[in-house]
Amino acid sequence: MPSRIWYAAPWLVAVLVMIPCSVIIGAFITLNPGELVETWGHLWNTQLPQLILNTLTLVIGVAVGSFLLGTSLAWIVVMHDFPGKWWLDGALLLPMAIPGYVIGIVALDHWDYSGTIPTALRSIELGFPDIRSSWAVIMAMSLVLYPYIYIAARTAFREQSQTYIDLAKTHGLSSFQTYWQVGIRLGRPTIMAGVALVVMETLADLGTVSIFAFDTMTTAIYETWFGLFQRQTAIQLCGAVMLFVFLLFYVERLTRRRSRHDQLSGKAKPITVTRLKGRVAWLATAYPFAIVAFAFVYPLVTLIVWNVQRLDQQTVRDYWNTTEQAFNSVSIALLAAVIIVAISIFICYSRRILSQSRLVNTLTMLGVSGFVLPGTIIALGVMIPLVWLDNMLNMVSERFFDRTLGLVITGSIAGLLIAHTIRFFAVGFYFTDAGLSKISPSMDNAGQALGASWGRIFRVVHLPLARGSFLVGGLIVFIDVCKEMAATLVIRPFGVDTLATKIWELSAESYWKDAALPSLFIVLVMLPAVILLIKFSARTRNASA
Amino acid sequence: MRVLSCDTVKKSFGENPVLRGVSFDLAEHEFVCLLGPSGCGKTTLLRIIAGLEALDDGQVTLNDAAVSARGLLVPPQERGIGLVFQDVALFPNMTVSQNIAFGLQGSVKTHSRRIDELLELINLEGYQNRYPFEISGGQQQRVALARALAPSPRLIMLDEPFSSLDAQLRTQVRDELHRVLRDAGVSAILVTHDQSEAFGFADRVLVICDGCVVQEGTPEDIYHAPASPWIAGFVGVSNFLTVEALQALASDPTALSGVNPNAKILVRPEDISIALRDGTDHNAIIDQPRFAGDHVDLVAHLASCKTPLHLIANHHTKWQAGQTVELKVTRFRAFSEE
Repeated sequence: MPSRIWYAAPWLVAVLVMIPCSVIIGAFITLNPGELVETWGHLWNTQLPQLILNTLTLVIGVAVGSFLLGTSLAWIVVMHDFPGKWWLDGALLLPMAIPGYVIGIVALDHWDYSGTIPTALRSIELGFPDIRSSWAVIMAMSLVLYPYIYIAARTAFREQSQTYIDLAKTHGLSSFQTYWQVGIRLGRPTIMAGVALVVMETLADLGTVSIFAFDTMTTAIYETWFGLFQRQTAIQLCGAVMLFVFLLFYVERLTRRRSRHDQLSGKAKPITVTRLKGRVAWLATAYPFAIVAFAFVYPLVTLIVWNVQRLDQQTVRDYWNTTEQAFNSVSIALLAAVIIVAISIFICYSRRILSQSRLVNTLTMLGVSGFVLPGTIIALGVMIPLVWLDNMLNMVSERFFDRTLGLVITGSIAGLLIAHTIRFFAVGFYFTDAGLSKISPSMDNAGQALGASWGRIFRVVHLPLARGSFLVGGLIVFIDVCKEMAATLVIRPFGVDTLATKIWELSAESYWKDAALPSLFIVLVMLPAVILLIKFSARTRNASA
Repeated sequence: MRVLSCDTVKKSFGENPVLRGVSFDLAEHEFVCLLGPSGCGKTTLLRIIAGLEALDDGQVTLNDAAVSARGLLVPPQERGIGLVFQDVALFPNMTVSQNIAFGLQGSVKTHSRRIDELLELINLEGYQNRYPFEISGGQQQRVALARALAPSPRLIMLDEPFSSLDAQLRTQVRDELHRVLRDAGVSAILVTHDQSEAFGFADRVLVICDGCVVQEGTPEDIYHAPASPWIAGFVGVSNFLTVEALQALASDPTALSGVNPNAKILVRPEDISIALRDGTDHNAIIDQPRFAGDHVDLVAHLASCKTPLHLIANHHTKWQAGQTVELKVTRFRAFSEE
């Protein structure tokens, strides 16, 4: 009989997710109804309608924007051959190395009313619309978040069967109609995973929206907690967002309940790549090129220029501090990535070994649902019980040993790692699971029948075959954690700065160039991870073929 | 000497019973085939014997030691059964040699003699360092068999091993696997839904339907003396006639004397002789001739019977729809209605 140890990891992730959920739901339940009505009545009469409108505008705008960018770019790259394709294919992932708040800083410095470009335009009597508005935030965030959808859509399109494309052609569909009606519809589950990731990144974003002074539920929660110290209200706002998010994903699931998207026949006919010629070919090159130039090269070059300009203002101490923050960012992100991939692999095995177990599937789904909780909410939900735990520990030690222990748990990065694990487990699990589920279970059975233990099957069969997917999952977690700002601000141990929190601090005064150094560092720290991701996300496909 | 014995094996997935008490024995050097339509439980039975699935009730005995029973599940790696799968399941990251050596203790080098021996057995000498994707589907299936044979198991089980192969290759690989297994001196269980595979491979066939063994016997028994009309239809092309209709067709009407007048009569296409008749003494009209190379498939409409008969005819005659013929049934089997 399979050992009970295989239940451990699914239980762990499920319990972790339940912590912030129960804290927030608990806060609602313990409240007396009169108070509840009063607070919400007040909120509703003041900012709440605007906050909800802003948040919805932002989430829908960024989802649509990055969906259009990501899927169209993926379609062009997968289905066609054009000059420069060989490097643009990978280069389109480079904007992942630019956090939204970094492109925001650059954009505001150049395009705000007093910025370089509108000033120049005014000198020739031309106006420029106000950049501190919804369209600008949506554009900035779409430009750096589309790679999540691009990576998903590229996989979806590549695995599609040419048969469907041929069918569309024989029915007289244009190339655009084929993309819209065949490509996107068949690839929907995979593409939607990317969209979900973008929606959650947007909903959780604190940095970018703050820079554009665009108030959303996330900024409101943060402000209410740290600015106004109205903790109850903050938690209630969390509850409202949580409800909204669960509703959103429930509706998405509902709309595709009955339809299936996987290939019906066994073998997919590989896609035939169309070679583009003439003007169309150059258009196909220009579009991705422009996106990479605008979303990656432009902010990176600007940051480099700023840093060169400020060379004389920076002291060795500045560089030293920033290096230390970079070290913090990298080690936290690396730890989180390793923890998450390890747990994910463990759970994949639980599912493989206890294949009939409904319990394991339910627990895993619960764990995965953690990713729909915005970072601030997770951080608050984790911090409250941890503070309580610290207090309990201190009370016990004072009582029995007459000593104060201090902040044992909240003073360490444990809370931060727990929060990141809850938030990003789904990302790591998605790729780990995708890699392992491509390996036929009869391969395991063959190994078992030949006397191999699970350890040996993992080492000599699964690891070599799925290594690429594990790496891709780990790298995306690394990148996400590196950029993460909201949760880190809430739950980081006192005195510990990461690049993201430093950028938050320095950009608070709207003096954008002050944040040039950590901004450049954060891009440079993530760049190797993105390059590795480009390499491995291209390769995983070959390995499975 | 019994290699394997299954005793009233039962298994359900949730509410859904998959095996309703299956029993059978397997003797040394015997080849048995589990034949049945998809979903009949044959693969589940194989997985239970292999130890990949637990049973609900009953017992599986290997070499006179119980390996599966209620609350008992000896893990697959301790059973010493070789498995060959439908999707081949060669490890794509290993060479042919490494695949074959997987179940042997130690490295490829220490087992080079055994590997060479097996490669010779499967006629793939010189393929040691190829990767699975560099060899053909038939070759892959032979390597998978060599991998299963490497640790010298007494029993090999093959789960639909030919269904991933092209039609022409199928017979060839089947014969090859059959020879290799005979030479290796093992017992074998083949799971398939294809009766021609089963007949060509096994000494004994177990027809499984809806979780039960519905007939057990030699391929000849199953084909010529099926236990029920369903089995008859499953293992070959079948015509069913009433006794009345048969009387007009039987070459020897006395053979019908003892038959229940309400019986259902099975007539195989090859047991009907056909003669062209222009005159009035014909009893059937030809329809839908389909040339199949070594024979012609025909349908014949009878005056005495509504359902048309399926026939096999000589491929040198040019058959046309509307030709009149005289049919004679030389052999038949009667099923009394329950």
